[in-house]
Amino acid sequence: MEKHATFGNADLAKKMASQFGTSRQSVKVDMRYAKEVQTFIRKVEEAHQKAANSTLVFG
Amino acid sequence: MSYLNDHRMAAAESQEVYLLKPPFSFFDFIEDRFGDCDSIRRTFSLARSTSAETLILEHIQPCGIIAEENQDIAGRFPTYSNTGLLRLSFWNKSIPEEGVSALNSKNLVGYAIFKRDQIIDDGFDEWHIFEAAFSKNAHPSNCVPHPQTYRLMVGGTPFEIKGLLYCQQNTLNKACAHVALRSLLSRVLPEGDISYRRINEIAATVNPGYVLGQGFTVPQMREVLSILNLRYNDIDYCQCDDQMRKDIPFQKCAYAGLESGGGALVGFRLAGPGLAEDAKHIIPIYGHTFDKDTWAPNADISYFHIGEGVGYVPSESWTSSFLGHDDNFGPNFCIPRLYIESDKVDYVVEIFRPGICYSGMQAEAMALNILYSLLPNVGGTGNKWITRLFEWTSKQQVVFRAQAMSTEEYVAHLCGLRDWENNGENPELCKLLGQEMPEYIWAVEVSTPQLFPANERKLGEIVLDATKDLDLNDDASVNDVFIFARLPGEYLLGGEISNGTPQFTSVPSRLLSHTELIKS
Repeated sequence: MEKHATFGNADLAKKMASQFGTSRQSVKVDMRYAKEVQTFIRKVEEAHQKAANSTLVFG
Repeated sequence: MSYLNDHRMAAAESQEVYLLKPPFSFFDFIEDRFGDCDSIRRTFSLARSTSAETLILEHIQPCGIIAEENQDIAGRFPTYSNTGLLRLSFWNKSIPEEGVSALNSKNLVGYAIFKRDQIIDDGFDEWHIFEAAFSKNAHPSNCVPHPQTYRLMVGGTPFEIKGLLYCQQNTLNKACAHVALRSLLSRVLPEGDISYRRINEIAATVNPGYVLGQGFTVPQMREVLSILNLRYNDIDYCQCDDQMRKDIPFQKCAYAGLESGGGALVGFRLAGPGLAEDAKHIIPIYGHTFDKDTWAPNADISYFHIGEGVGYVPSESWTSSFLGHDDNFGPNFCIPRLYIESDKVDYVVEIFRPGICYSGMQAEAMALNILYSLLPNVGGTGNKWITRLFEWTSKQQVVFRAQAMSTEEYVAHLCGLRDWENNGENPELCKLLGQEMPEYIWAVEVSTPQLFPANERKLGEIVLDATKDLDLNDDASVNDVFIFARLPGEYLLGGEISNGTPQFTSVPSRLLSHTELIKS
């Protein structure tokens, strides 16, 4: 049970809802592509880390 | 005012004025005064293509960063001297009788500072373009996000021009990487420019014994960006397996830099007779074309896949050319996006606007997960645009366009939006978002292959906190950057995660259909 984990800014959601109301009951959403996104984000970051070892010279 | 601007603002020692109407010939003028230099020819061609009517040529004395450059070259070559320094400005009208002071900045189409370097011992005697800036081509398909404004003095009167600085190497104290960096840094640094001395000083801390004017290594370029507190994403394809060129093509990375306003550097191997096998060149990319009627987005090849079977249509599908400089040939070229073969490109850098912590490619991937996950759960509102968006999402025919912005810029955009029925957003809601959001965000615009090019409109945004680093050791880190999704008729804001499933709160929006894209 991840009691205190949040997705985004729950405080902002409360402030917005209290001031402007809600359109519907809260929606539970299964994040369908979380794994693929994590893999992609890591791929970008790992490529960036590897560039530190670059031996390329320009000019 | 910063000494970085001294050379642009220097008082002229003397002035020459040329009316450019026929029979005045730039070819004759260039050959008489500068010999044969491709970049100088290109500069005059740009002036001619903007229908410039007058050239004002001013002789100026070295000062500021040009005086610094001269000292640094003289330190390496004792018989060096800077024997010519000219500031040329091109105007779209004839000089009135009252003189230059009667002109205004709208009449200025471009300027250039030409510099002549001579080294007596080596027989070196060459003109090069220390810098130039021209207004972007007036064609509506040419987009230059966040152009810089450069101030210069002409005839004792200050003027301004918007564009992106072009700079040329001289092989004495600066190579292609130096000038490419200066071009882009002049736009993103708060001080508006950087000297070559500063770039070389930083480079020397990485490679002691480094010789001015010789090639620049990737670690040196990275150090320059880091010391200047600029974040960036880069890829050296030689350090990755071959699949990386397909998974994250250089065009994708470069385009992300363009749309975030920081620009991109593209480093490639040169090919041609007489060139060394390992000859490498790097150029700055700062804009792109927007080709409304291009066929490309209809092709499968246009889809960008972040994983097996998960993709979207990136907004760069409507870009046929990048706008960039090539210091060997001159400023403001259209460089066909697919012309430089992927296997020739070894290095690409996406520079982030100050305040941005992660890549636009990563922002788009997160937006995809959020949108594709949310939509199956938010039907039933009766909003036909939500229904349509769900249908397009199921076919992965959704366009994403990541824009790096300050919250101030975003809220101003949101406040000004009108949907197709001319509804505007609640100003109080915009105000609250302005108070509660972080200083910088990624607004990943959501559109469709019909709306995006034809109307330049969208169905909403996925808004992410751009000021937080993505902690790759913590899967939940990605969740932390989500702020909200704005869709037709509602905002969806994050909440608690229960048993691994996040809850979203829906707050009504007065914008019920499609709205204008962000214009930077």
